[in-house]
Amino acid sequence: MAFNFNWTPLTTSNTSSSAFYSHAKSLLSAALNKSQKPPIIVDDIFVEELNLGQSAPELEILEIGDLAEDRFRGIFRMSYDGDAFLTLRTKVQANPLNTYLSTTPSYTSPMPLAASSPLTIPLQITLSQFRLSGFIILVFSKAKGITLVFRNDPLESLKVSSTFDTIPFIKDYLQKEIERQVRGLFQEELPVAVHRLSLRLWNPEYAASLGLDVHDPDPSSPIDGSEDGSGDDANAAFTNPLLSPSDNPDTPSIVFSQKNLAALRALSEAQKTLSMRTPDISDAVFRVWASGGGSSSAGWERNIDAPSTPIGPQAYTFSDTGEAVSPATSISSSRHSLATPPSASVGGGASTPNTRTRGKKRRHRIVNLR
Amino acid sequence: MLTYMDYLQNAFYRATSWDPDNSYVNLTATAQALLDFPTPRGLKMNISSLATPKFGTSYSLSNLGVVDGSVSYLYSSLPLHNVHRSAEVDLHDVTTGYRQLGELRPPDDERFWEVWKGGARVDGRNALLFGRMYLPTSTLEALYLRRMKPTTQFRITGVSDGRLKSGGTIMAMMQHDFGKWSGEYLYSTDGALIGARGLYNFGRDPRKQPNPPPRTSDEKAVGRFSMGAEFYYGILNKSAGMSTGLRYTTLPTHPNAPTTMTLTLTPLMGSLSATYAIKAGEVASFCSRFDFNMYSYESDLSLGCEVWRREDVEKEDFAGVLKARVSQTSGIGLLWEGRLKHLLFSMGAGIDLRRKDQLVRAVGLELQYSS
Repeated sequence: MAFNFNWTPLTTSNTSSSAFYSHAKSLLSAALNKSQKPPIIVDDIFVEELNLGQSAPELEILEIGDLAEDRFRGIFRMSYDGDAFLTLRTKVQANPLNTYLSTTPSYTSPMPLAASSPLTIPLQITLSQFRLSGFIILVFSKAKGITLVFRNDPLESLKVSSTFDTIPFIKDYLQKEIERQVRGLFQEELPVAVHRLSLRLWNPEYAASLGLDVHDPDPSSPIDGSEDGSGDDANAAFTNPLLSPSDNPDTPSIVFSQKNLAALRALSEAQKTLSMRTPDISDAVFRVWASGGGSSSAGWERNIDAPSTPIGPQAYTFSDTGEAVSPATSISSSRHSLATPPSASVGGGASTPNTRTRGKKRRHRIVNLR
Repeated sequence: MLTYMDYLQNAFYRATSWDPDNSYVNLTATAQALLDFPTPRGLKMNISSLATPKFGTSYSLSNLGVVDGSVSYLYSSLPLHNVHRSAEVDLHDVTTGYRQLGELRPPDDERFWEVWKGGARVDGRNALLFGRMYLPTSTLEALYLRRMKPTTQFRITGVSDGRLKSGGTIMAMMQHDFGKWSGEYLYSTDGALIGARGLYNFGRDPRKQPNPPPRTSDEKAVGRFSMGAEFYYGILNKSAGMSTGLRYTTLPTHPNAPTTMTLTLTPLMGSLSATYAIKAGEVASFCSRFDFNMYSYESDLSLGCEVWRREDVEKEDFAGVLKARVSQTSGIGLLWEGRLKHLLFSMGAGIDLRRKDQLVRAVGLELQYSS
């Protein structure tokens, strides 16, 4: 199951994207200058140019582990091979002695007469030819926000070009250093930023102030708060959280396919039933018995009808089960508590008739990610 | 205005006949005193005293931040008798201005420093110990100065601060002064920086008596050319820096107004700086400086002056000095230093005309009392 991104609003040929780009550039400049800069950078960092390219990243759902009204857990595979680029402009101090003296206490400084005279050089860095490929684990819960983690290092390669390209020593140093920083950004900064943003957005007070409907009974649209349960809104538009609605009246909106949303809702509502039999979800492996049963609580296994769940040659495994298990145990324990009322079950894949299959043989299915 | 501890350190140099002007660091001391004078920020008060001729203390309190203060102690193995109270001190000793250099003095013969008593040498070497503790931030500064030989002085300074990486830094410096030339070697633990500086004075070597000695003042030199260089290399962070400089200064035998001209070059960074200072009579000095960078074409012109106010024309007692500077990059600076009854004060302000919203950048008043 893959996503189709409508990337045309973000291509530079589109006039509506210019407002988005200028806003994104100012946001990015503010974010880069907020933290303490190293003393070698003497001026603010400005985003000279930001272009998200002509092609969109490819996103594919590998697994949905938990789907509920206020919870969602999924594994996605993302790959990007486009022509996005980012150009930054700043000024650096070329005299290393000047940088050194700014950090050393003045009482023990050697007090050079003129050897520490400053020389500032303007610097322009362009990051381009991003090659990203990785697996994203996305956990959403209304109480705790979105947690987005990369299973591996998503950055495959990156091209760094700057005004110092003629000096190979500095070119190599910048390439290594910026690659290291971008890797750290994807693996550490981005999850934190997304988490904070999601808390800010789905905090009930904040959401109420924005006019979003937080009591949405529809579990298939955790990110589309404006769609109410009846779903008769033909243009269910998703407001980009980066652009606050009160700002620019002509902000571009990213529209989800109505057909896909209806299909997702039908799928999740199909599981909310007292019936003995629930329809299978094709092309999916249920999380419960995919991880070898080590973490799953008793009673939630289900016999696999092998032909109903074709996965194909691709397979995935969780090598780091410690990491994968902890949210699962919390969710499975909550599922355990929810299972006691024999009436409606919430969430996918777990319904009371499954307890009858406890005695049946467990099927272990180990699948590899690569 | 010099702090009391700097004043005591200068008194120590005078008592041990060490000439700090004969070092490359002070090649442009005149221009720095007239153009780079620091203006006080906020309110600062100092109370100091030389309790015994060998021991001095100083306490200071300022309102920069919430409350800032420091406690300092100084011990000198040589009794300092040339130190005066704030009510009587000559203002020229506590303010920096045009530095008039004198004739080069030959260093003492080492044998004159030996003291024999009962057939054994009992002389020790003069040393100075200094420590300052900044109270709210718990930063400690320390200095140990030892005059090993008439031509050699050893100096260790250290800063201990929990916020610095590895807790603090120490810098050790060995200074040589042979009159005609001087050299310094230093090592700092911060980044394992090593440095070397040297200054060479053209002209007659003071250690050699001219043959025959000059009788008329025509043959005596009226000016002195000096040339120097410095070089630093940080071993850990692989940073290097160097500069060279040239100075021409007139000696007291010069018939006209004393002038000093300097030229400093930093070849690696391509920066060039030229200064010209002149002392007009007893009451005024003027200085101008032009900086230029050959790579970035940045230039700066600074002009500065100081004017002395006489208290009493006959007694030649000066009551205050007004310093002013104007420059392209750092705006206008004003400083007024003087004595009011028993207190030494300095009031200053920095003005930046380009920023209309924040015209006066830094205003301050500093009071000093010493007994």
